Amino acid sequence: MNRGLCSCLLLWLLLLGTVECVAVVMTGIRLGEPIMGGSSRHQEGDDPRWADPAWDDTDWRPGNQLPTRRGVYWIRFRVALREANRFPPEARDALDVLDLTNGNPIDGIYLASVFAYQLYWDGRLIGGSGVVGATREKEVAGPLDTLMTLPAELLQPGGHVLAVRMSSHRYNFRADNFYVYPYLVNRAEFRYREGQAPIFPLIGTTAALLTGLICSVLYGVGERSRPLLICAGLGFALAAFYFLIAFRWLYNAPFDWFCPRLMTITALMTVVSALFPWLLLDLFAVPRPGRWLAVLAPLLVGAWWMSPIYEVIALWLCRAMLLMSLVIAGWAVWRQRSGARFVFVGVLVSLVLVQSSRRDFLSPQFLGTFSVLVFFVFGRVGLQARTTRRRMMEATVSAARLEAELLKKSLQPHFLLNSLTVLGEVMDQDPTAAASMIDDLGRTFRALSSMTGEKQVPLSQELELCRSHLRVLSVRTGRPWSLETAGVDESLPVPPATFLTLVENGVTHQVPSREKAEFRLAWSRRAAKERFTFFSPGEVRQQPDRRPGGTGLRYVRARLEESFPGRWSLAQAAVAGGWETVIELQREA
Amino acid sequence: MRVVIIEDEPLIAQRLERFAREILGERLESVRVGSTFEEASVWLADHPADVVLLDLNLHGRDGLKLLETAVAGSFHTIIVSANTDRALRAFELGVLDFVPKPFTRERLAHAFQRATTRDAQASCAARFLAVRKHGRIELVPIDQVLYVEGAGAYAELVLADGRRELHEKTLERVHALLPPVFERTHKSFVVRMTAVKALHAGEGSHYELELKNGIRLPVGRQRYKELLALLVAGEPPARAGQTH
Repeated sequence: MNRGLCSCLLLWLLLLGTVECVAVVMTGIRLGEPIMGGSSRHQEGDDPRWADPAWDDTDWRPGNQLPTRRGVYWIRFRVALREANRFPPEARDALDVLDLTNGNPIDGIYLASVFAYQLYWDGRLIGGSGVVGATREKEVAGPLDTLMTLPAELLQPGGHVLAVRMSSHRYNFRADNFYVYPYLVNRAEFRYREGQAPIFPLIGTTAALLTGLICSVLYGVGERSRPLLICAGLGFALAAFYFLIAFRWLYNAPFDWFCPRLMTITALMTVVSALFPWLLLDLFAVPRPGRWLAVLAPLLVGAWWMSPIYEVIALWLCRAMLLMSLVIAGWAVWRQRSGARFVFVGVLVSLVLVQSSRRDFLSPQFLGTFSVLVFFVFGRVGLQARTTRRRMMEATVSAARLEAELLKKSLQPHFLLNSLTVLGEVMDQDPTAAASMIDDLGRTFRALSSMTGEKQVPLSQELELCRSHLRVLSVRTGRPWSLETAGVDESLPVPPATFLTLVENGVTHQVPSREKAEFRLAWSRRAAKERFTFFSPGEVRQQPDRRPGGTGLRYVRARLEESFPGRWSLAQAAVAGGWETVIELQREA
Repeated sequence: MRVVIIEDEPLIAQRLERFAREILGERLESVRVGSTFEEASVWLADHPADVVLLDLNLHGRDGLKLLETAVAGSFHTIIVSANTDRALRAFELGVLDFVPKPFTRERLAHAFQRATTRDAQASCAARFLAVRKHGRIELVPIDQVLYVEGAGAYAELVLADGRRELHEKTLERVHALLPPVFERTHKSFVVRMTAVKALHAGEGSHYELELKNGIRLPVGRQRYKELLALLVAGEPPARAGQTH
């Protein structure tokens, strides 16, 4: 059942990952790949004649790497068209002007700018963004993305000059320079791709938002588990992350919003980088999660100092997150935690992809893999929550049933009726002993009835029940049974009839070698873990038809699960002179 | 009477032994107490017993398997147990009596009386007879038994399909477990009366019962009149087949 659910979830996530990849391809179009050298020159200053294609710019500085916040300056690109409206294929790697026509005729030009500019093609003003100004006050921010029309008569075969007049006072990145890449485009083709681009990040946003909401609701209605809370946080952070990626296509914001948007995306990446390893720590129940997080924290803070470029910061964040996740998943694989192998392989693949395409950490392969990984972990947390709830319900039902069984077992027929039969004989032989036995029987049943319906009782009450029970058994079996304790804090709450059940098992299934039979209970605490060591005297009776883990032990296990869900263990083994049961449990803080 | 007590609680075993001595008096030939069935079985292999008083819950074990073994033995089994919810099943398997705990001397005396009365009948609730076959215990449904033939210390169950199964009990003890439809027709035969077709009286006080499947069984001289009266008062099969 769980495997089926996981497979469906994985299939869906793979699809989601694939569409996410396509979305990132679209993001890649915007950023482009820098082509060094090439056909551009730039000059500080402002002269309207510089738009003229005949202007001699040979004394200008070569390249398209421009200074920031330096008043008004110009950049000129030279483009040679062999055919009208066609981007020359041989120039694709040689020009600083990039081809985005997909083989269609050129009819426009596109520029993503973090500066105000006016764009001239062969001396004619084609378009621009904002208002170019000599000072910050005079400069006005315009839209980040601008698609401009190039008339057909300007695209005849031969040389052309693209001149950009610009100012970058509102450039708000930390860097001192930036690159400019104009794109020659086919507008229909470009608009088609623009229309497609936000769909996929929005699907990611919706999926992550729903996940976050579901986890929040589950947490709110009483499923108070930390993995669910982390999942909710991770879901919301991822939803915001995807939404900010989609935002660029939804609203053409002024270019001075670009830096805060990237900064927010990087901050969200930091949150994701912290939450994902934390979720793995909780999911795989890794001990001392605080220490692991203490190692992760400086790595994430350090990433912010690795570069002024947000993509690079995000890349380092990503590396830190994946490295820590890899170590956690490796530990989980070593400890044979469920689902650990899948997570380990997923993290490893993500890490390899990040390293192999390090110039663009939002590579399609990486985001696809990481999305699958994250949603797989979401799925695991969901399944874990369901399992916990089911275990709780089963434990509750089972404890109620076993409680009734235990009472029946103690009241009839063996205990009560055999005790009464023995009582008849004791009355005949020794009336005083009979009165004492009646008293002990009364104590046993009073203690049992006072425990009915209790989830936990003080250990002192449990020990008194065991001792009165043993006194009755001593008369019945003709052997003195006793229960000794060492270092036990009798005020500790324990599930009712836990040790009584162990006493009953010992009496029924073991043969003490000595006349005097002594049960022993020891208690110790190490860190947050408590350990009860219960010794039953005597060798285990050979009973080939007896099935292991009978009603008694099922009762004890159900009771422990009810009181300490997922935080207990019970182990049994033969020891010198008897049988030892070790119960370890961790109480809630 | 030779009595074996199988009880894991010493005081209850003492009580059973004391009551047995008081009830049976001089009729008690021997009494043996064991705390496990295995221990008692070893004793029983060499020392025949008439009655075994058996606790159904020895050392926390479910005694039904053990009971099947017990009822296949040559002795009568009387269960002394707090497990009254198993009483019906115990009777089905062919115990002579079920004495619930806690018990009185009178109730135990009643159980012993059933075991000692000649031609004693149990509660008539037995549905099976347990036979030991190839080292295993098999339950033979009483519905399939046509008649039982005594064979010394054993009894042979003859079934409707012609099979014959050897039971370790004597004919008397098997008869005690069978329902009233079975009658003692001869010192060596107990017959299901509904399977009788005719009663034949031959020369020289030689009497025979003819079963519906054609088998003829001898009838004891003393039993003839009783059987004749029974068949005349009963349903047609016997009356129609009477030949003088």
